[in-house]
Amino acid sequence: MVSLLIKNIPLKKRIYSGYIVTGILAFIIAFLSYGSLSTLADKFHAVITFSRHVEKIITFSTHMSEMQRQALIYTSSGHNAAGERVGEIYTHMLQDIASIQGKEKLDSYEYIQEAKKYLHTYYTTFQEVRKQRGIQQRLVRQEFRQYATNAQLLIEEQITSLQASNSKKTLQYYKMLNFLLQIEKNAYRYFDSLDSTFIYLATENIQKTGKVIETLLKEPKGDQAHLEEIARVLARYESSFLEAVQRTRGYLYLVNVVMAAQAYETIYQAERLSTMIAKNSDQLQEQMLDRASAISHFLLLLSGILLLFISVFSFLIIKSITEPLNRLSHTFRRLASGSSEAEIPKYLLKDELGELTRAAGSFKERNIALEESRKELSRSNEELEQFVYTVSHDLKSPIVTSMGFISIIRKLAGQGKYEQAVDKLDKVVKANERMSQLIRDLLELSRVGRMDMDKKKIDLNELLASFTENQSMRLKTEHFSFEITSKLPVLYANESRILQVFENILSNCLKYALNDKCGRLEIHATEDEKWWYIFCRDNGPGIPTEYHEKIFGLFYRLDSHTEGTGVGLAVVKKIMKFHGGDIQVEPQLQGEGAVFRLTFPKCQSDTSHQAGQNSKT
Amino acid sequence: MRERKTEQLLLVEDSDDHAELAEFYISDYNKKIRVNRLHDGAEAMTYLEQIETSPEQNLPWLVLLDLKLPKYDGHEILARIKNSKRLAGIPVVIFSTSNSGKDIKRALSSYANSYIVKPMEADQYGEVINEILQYWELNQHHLVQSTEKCDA
Amino acid sequence: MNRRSFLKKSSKLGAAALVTTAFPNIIKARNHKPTIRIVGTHVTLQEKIRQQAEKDLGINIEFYPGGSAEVLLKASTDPDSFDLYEQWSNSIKVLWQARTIQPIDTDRLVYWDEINSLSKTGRITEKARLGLGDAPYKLLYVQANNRLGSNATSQISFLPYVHNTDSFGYNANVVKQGIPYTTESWGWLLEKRFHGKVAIVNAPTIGLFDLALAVQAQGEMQFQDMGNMTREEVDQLFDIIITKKRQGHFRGVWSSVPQSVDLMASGEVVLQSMFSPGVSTLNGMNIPCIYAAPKEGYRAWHGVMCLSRACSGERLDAAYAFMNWWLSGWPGAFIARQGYYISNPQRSRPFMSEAEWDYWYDGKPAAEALRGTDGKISVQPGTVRTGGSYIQRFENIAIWNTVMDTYEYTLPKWSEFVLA
Repeated sequence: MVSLLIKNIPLKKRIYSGYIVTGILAFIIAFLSYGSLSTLADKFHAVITFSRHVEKIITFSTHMSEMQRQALIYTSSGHNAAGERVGEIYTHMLQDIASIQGKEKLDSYEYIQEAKKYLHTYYTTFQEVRKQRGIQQRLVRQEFRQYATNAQLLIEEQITSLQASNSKKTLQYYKMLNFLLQIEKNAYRYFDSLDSTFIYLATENIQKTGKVIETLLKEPKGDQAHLEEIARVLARYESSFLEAVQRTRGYLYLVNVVMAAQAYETIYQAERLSTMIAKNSDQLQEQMLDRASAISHFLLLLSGILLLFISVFSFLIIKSITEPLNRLSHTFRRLASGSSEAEIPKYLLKDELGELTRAAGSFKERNIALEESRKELSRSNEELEQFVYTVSHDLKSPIVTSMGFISIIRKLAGQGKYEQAVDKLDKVVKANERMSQLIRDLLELSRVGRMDMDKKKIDLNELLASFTENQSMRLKTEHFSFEITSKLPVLYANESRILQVFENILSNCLKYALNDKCGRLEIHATEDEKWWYIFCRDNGPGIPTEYHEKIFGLFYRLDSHTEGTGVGLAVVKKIMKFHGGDIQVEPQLQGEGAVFRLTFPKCQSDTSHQAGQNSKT
Repeated sequence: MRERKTEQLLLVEDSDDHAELAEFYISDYNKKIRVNRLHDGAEAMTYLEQIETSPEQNLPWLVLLDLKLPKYDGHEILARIKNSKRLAGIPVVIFSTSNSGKDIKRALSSYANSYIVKPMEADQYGEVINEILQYWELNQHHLVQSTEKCDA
Repeated sequence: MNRRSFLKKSSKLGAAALVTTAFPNIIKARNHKPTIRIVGTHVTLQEKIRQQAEKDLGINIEFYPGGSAEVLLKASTDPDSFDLYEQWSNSIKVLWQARTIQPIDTDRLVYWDEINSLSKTGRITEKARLGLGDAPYKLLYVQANNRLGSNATSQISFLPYVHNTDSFGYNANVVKQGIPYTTESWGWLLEKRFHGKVAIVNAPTIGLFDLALAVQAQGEMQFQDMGNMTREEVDQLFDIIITKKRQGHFRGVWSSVPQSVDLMASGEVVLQSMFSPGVSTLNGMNIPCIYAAPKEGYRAWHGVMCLSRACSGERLDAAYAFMNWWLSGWPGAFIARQGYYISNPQRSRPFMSEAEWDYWYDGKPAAEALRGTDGKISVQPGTVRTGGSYIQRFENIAIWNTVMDTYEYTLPKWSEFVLA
C-alpha cells in the first residue's frame, strides 16, 4: 500500500517527502526523548530535593540536640545567652520545617506536623522554664536575700537596743541570728546541690526561729511589736524560699521531663521522616534508574523501529525511482541498439521519469519509423531489382526473337527459300515494334511520380462523368457500360494520373472481362475514418486468387495472347502508391467478376509527399 | 531407339515467336522429334498432373522450360516436376532470357538439369538448341541402353 | 477490719447522706452561689462531674484541668489561684512542704468513717502487702510536729478518693498472653523480644518505678528500698536503663494517655507503661491491649484532694461540701465506669448496676455489655477485668507513685534517659 502510494507521487515530491518523513521521524524521536528526559529530570529534581530535605532533617536533629543542650546550660547556669540561643535555634528550625512543608507533598507531611507539634510544645515549655527560672532567680537573689537581711537587721537592731541589759534575752536573739544563718546556708546549699535534705534543714531552722520568737513573745517586757515584725519577715522569708524551691523543682521538671520528652519525640519524628524520605528517595532513585533504563530501551527500540521504517521507506522510494530507471535504461539500451520492439514501461505521472519514459516512447517511434523506412528501402531495392530483372528479361525477349528470326531468315535465304524468309521478316518487325512499345510503356511508367505530379482538389464525380463521355465511343463499340452507383469523394490528387488509373482499369476490363453478355464496370465508394475506398467491379470471369498480387507486376500478363505489354496495372499501382493509397483485388467468389479496390487517404498532404519520396527511391 | 526418339519433347514457352524459333531449330536438328508445346504455367501444371497420375502415358524425355510464364512461372513448374517421384527423372533444361544469378541459382538448387540463357546473338539460337538436343539425346541414349541392359 | 466487715459497714450507711452534703443554707441565706476553683488533671476534672456537682450542690464550680507538672507548680507556688487541688498522692509531700495547702478536718468529712483501710493503714486487707514508696497512709495524717505521718490524727493532708493500680499493657495480637500474677512480670519491659517496641510513661515519680521494678524483676539489681532509692541506686538504675535505651530497646516515653494509645495503635509499641483509660480506649479500638497483673505486684496511685491554704470562709464550706459530695456515691460510680476505684465503694454501689459492680469491683465476668461514661459500650459481655477484684488488686501493690528524697537528683538522669 505504501509502495502504491509512493508510486502515485511525482519524483521530486517523492524525494522531498522522503526527507520530510525522515525529518518528522527524527523530530518525533527528539520530542519523545525530550519528553522522557524531562520527566527523568523532574524525578532527578525530586531526588535532589529529597536529599536536601534529608540534610535539613539531619541538621534538624542536630539542632534539636543543640537546643536541648543550650536549654540545659541555661537551666543550670542561668546564662541568658543560652536561653536566647534556644529561641534562635527554634526560629531556624521552624523555617526549615516551613521550607520542607512547602515542597513536600508526601505522606511525610504527618511526621512533619508531629515534629512541629512536639517542637512547639518544647519551646512553649522552655518559655515556661525561663519564666520559672526568672521567678526563682528573683526569689533567690532578691526577695529571699532581702528577707534574710531584713530579719537579720531587725534581730541585730534588737540586740543593739538590749545592750547586755538582758543577757538571757540577748542570747535568745543571738540564737535566732544563728538559726537565720543556718536557714540561709541550707537554702543556698539546696539551690547549689538540689539535695532536698537541705530543704528540711532550712525549714527546721525556720521552725526553730519561730519557736524562739514564740518563747520571746511569752516574755513580759514588751518588744512585742518588734518580735511580731520579725515573725512576719520570717514568714515571708519562708514562703519565698519554699516558692523558690517549688519554682526550681518546676523548671527542673519541665526541662528534664517535659522538654526532654518533646525533644526526643521531635528528634524521633525527624529521624523517622528522614528515614522515610531517604527510603522514598531510594525508591525514587530506583524508579528513576528503572525509568532511565526503560526510557533508553524505549528510545533504542523506537530509534530501531524508526530506522527500520526509514530504511523501508527509503528502500521503497529508491525502488520506486530505480525500478523505472532500470527498466528505462534497459529500454534505452534496446532502443539504442535500434530495436523498435523494446517495451516502453508504463509510467503515468508527469514527472522527470515520465519525461524520460515519453522520451523513450519517442525514441521507439523514431526507431519504428526508421525500421519502416529501412524495410521500405529494402523493399524498393527489391522492387528495383525486380524491375531491372523484369525489364532486362522482357526487353531481351524481342531481341532474342528478332535475332532468332534473322538467323532463320539467313538460313532460309541461304537455302534459297526467299519467300519463306521474307515471311519471317514480319516477325522481326513485330518483335522490334513490340520492343519500341515496351520502351514507350517503360517511359510512361517512369514518368509516374516524376512529371505532371502537381496535385489539386478533384471532384471524382465530375472527373469520371467527363471520362465516361470521352470513352463513350469505345464503350459503345465494345458494348460495355460504365456506371457510377454512389456519390464519389473529392480527392486531392493529380488529375491526369487519376484519369489514367480509371483508363487502365477500364482497358484491363475490356481485355479480360469480356463475356457473352454485355460488359459492365460499376464504380462506387465507401469510407472510414482514414480512407476513401473506391470499388471498381466488372462482370467478367473474375481473377483467380493466386494472381491477385501478380497482376500488378511489371510486364505481367495473365494471357500472353492478349495485346498489351503488362504495364497498365503496374502503372495504376504506382500512381496509387504515389497518392499514398493502394490498389488491391478484392477477394470474390468465382464467377462474380473482378473487384478492384482503390484506397485514398483522407488526409493526403503528408502521405502523398511520402509516396513521392518512395517513388523516387 | 527410334520409337524412343519419337517420344515428345516438352516445350513450355509463352512467347509464340520463341516457341516457333525453338521448334524450327528442333526440327532442323531432327525432324522426328515431337514437340509438345505448352503456352503457360497453368497449362504445364495441368499436363504434368495428367502424366503423373496415368502410368500408361509416356513421360517427355526432355523439358525445355522458360521461366517467365503467365500464371505459374518456370520455377514453380520445375519444383512441381522435381518434387514428384514419377516425374523427377525427367531432364529439365531451363531456357530463359534471364541471365540473373538469382534465377540460375534458384533453378539449379531446384535440381534443374541444365540452365541455358536464350542467346541474343544472331545464329546462336540454332546452335544452342543443337547442343542441348545433342547432349540430352546422347545422354538419353546412354540411359536407355543402361536401362535396357538392366531389363534384360 | 477484714474485707467482709468493711463492705458491710459501707453498705449500711446508705444513700441518704446527700441531704447533709447539699448546700442549700448558703444559697438561701445570701441568695448567691459561692464559686470554687479546682485545679487538677483530666482524670477527675471531667465536665460531667462538674455539671453533676453544680446541680447537686447548688454552687459554682470552675475546673482548671492541666498537665501534672503545670498543676503541681501552680498549686505549690500560688495557693491563691485555687481552692481545691486534685492530683496524685505523690504530690502531697511537695505541696505540704511548699505550705500551700491546709489540713482537712476529718470531723467535717461526712463519710470519713466509710473510707477504707487502704488509705488509712496502707493495707486493704490484713493479708495485703504494704506497698513501697509514698503509700498514702504515710502522708495522710498531719502530725504534731506539723509533718505528715501515719499516726492517726483528726487532721489530714488530703481527702482520699480516686485510686487505681497501674501496670503495663501489651498487645495480645503480638505478645503471647501471660497468666496474671504468675507469668506476667515487670521484667517483660526489658525483654529482648520486645526490642524497640517498649515505651515508658514520661514521669520520674511513676515511670522510674516501672523501670526499677523491671530491672529488679530481671535480677539486674536490687534496691534496699525501692520507694526511697539512694543516689547510688539511682545511678546504677539509670546506668542500666540508659544503656538499654541507647541500644534502642525503648521506642521512647509517652507524655499523655492519647499518645500512649497512638503508640500502641500504630504498632510502634507492643508493650508499655499504661494508664487504665488508655487500655479502655485501645480495647474500644479492637486492639486487644491486656493490662497486665505483674507477679511482682502493681504500681498503685492514689488521687488526693487538697485544700488551698488560702481557702477560707464560704469557699471553704463549699470546698468541704464538694469533698463530701465526691464520696457520696454518684461520682464513685461514675469513675468506676472508667476503671477507677473510690475509697468508699459501698456508697457508690447503689449507683451502679449489679453487672457493673460485679465487673468493676468484684472481678467477675461482665454479665452484659457495659457502657463507659461516654455512653459507648466499653466492656463486652463475658470479659473479665485483668488482675481480678478490687481487693485482689490492692492486695498486690509493689510500690506507690513516689516523690523520693532524691527526686531532684533523678531529674537530669531522667532527661538523659529520655534523650538517650
